[in-house]
Amino acid sequence: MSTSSSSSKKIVLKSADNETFEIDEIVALESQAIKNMIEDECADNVIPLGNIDSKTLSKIIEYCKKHAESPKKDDNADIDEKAVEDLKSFDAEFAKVDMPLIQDILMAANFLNIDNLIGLMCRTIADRIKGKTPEEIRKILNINKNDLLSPEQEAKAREENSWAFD
Amino acid sequence: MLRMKKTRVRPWADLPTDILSSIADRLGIIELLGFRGTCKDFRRASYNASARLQSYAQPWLFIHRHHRSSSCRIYNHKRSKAYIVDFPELEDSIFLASYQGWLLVLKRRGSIFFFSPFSRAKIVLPHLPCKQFTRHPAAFSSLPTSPHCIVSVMTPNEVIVISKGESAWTRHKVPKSIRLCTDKCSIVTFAAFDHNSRTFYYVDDYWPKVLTFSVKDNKVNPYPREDAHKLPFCYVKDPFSETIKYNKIKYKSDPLNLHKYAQVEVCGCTLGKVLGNSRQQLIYPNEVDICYSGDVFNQMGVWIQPRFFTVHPDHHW
Repeated sequence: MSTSSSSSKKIVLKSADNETFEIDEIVALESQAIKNMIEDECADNVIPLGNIDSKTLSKIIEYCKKHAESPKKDDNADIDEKAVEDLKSFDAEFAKVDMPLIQDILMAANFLNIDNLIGLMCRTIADRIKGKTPEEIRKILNINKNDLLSPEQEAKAREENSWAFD
Repeated sequence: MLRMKKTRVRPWADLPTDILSSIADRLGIIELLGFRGTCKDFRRASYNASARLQSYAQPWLFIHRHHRSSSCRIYNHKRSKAYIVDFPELEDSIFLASYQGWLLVLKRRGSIFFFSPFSRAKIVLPHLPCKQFTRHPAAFSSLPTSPHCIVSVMTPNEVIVISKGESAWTRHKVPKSIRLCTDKCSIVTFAAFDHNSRTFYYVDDYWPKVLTFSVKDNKVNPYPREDAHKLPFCYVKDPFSETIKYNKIKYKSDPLNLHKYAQVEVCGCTLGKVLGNSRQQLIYPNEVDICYSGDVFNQMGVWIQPRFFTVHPDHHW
């Protein structure tokens, strides 16, 4: 398990609103994009993250810290059941945020290439539209009027899904 | 420096397509249908989404009102929810096999096709060289869109096989001494494909007897009875009658709305591996449930994993 001992290497992330976050390198390595930068030696001491605001970034760091501390599934065959459960409940708790923040986290996770977090956010959205009609999904996901289906597509969609929502 | 586009107050449809596709990939069938009906971008992003997670859940049940009718009842046992859907494609037809959300459907006079009922995608196969309109045991190896798909149908005296892209079925005689089905007994417990040995298995528990057809050497062989415990399959016992019983006790009703005098023939379904690392596949077997023995008529049913497949209009067998 990693600790934040003073000897471990630190990375500084800087948010769009110029807030800096000092974190252990091992936490930053949860992001494949940052990992690549470090491996290619093109990371400075401070990594500026163009448009991730501090609120989103602190959520992402919270997630990466927890996941960096947890034993990885492929480390050994004997998976610690308790650690898996612990991580699961952390994820469930973590996902209890509003839709705009989910979107920001998802965009940032996609950009930073953090696979597990992308998966978690997508599953969260899937859960939130469970049992909802297209009309309701449009409201939840803030769909523009000009993006609606064409009349032909609409007719096809109705044919596909009317049984499920009528 | 790492930089990405400005994010604030963005409609969800403006998200990059790969993110929308990741969302679509994680939807169950009902949510996927809803998502596809929401807007242009969602519909485009979910083109390849197939409700994959649904392959790990309990299969759903499809029941024809009767085999001449196109009206079907779809039943999700886990949520005890029944839907009524009209499928003109399935009028006067019977189900031969079910795997990964695709049905193999036989029409009277031998026309035969794959059908993905939730997307209504259809892939037509060459005419089946067999006159009998009965529920032949059958199986297929992969998704019908896959270049590796092989289909096998067992008739009373032959195993008929076709591989993806072929324009005709190949017929293999089954020696009389080892045949499974006679005219009297047309219900074989199940047929399924084992990927490791590239072999179709036809298992008849009532006799009990097992035949195999190896794709490698194109031969029909009897399977040694003493090796029954080594079969790469295991199956659920009477899933259909258990479901009916369960509903009767729990809800005192029949959400399937079965006809009082019907004999229900349910086609089985090959599910995934029993456990992640197991070599055994889980099977829902074929089943006949006779509620009334007299002047009966048939209701056809099939277990199905509720998946969704979009097939390009130019896609052919």
